[in-house]
Amino acid sequence: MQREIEAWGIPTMSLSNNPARTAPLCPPRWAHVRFPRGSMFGEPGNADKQRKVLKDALDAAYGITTPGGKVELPYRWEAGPVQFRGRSITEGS
Amino acid sequence: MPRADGSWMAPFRVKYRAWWPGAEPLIREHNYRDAFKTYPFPAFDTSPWAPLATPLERATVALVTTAAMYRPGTDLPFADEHLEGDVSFRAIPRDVDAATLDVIHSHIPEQIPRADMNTVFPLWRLWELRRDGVVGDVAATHYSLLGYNTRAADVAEHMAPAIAALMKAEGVHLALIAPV
Repeated sequence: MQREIEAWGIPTMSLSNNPARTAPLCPPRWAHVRFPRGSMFGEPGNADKQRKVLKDALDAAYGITTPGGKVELPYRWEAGPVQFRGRSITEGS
Repeated sequence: MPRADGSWMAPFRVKYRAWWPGAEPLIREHNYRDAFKTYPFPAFDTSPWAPLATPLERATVALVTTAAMYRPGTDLPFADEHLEGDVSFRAIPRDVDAATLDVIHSHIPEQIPRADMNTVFPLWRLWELRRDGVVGDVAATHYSLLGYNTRAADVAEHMAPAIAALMKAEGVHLALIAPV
């Protein structure tokens, strides 16, 4: 989807917590965030972190100058593990 | 109509039709791990490219979430129970009240966005960045879709161009896509 929106002339940036799945898709610009499934911007209620992740993702888009460029965002999940389908997840999908 | 190189779509659809008979019973049992071991994931060597010409402090930014967020009473929920997902999207206005939003997405821990929609759709954080002069403007419309979609070619061929056309009409300079 990101590729198609970009092809229509809208610059795009995306986030991913699953680089193994994302990299082969060669998105125009993307950032790896090490948060668990369902929470790409950080913990519920942590407005400061959410704002930083959002700002850093948008800034990173401007720093990527070649198609397919990727950055790593430094943030980590700081709440308890997320419970999903019998698993406790702190990172990735 | 797609604008990116669509040459992958026809071969994908052939592989998809071969994949589906074996995958369907596994998906019915919610055995996604085994079902998707043989899914024909698309792969590319190159990427489309639209240069970022407008500085962020003057850019209109739109958000796209795959958290299947919708407005009960206004929008239909996504067909989350459908085995192949749901190739539709919801247009979310920029002045939406977070309290009017819900998610129905059995493939994610729904308790997270229900506790705080900013975890998947940081519209209110985006408004704060606009207030602070970091971004130029918040797009009039943002987009929600169901992240679970097996029909990748349909997403690329139908959903994405429709969203792109709406973004273009609204003067979006940068779209941030946040899968779940």
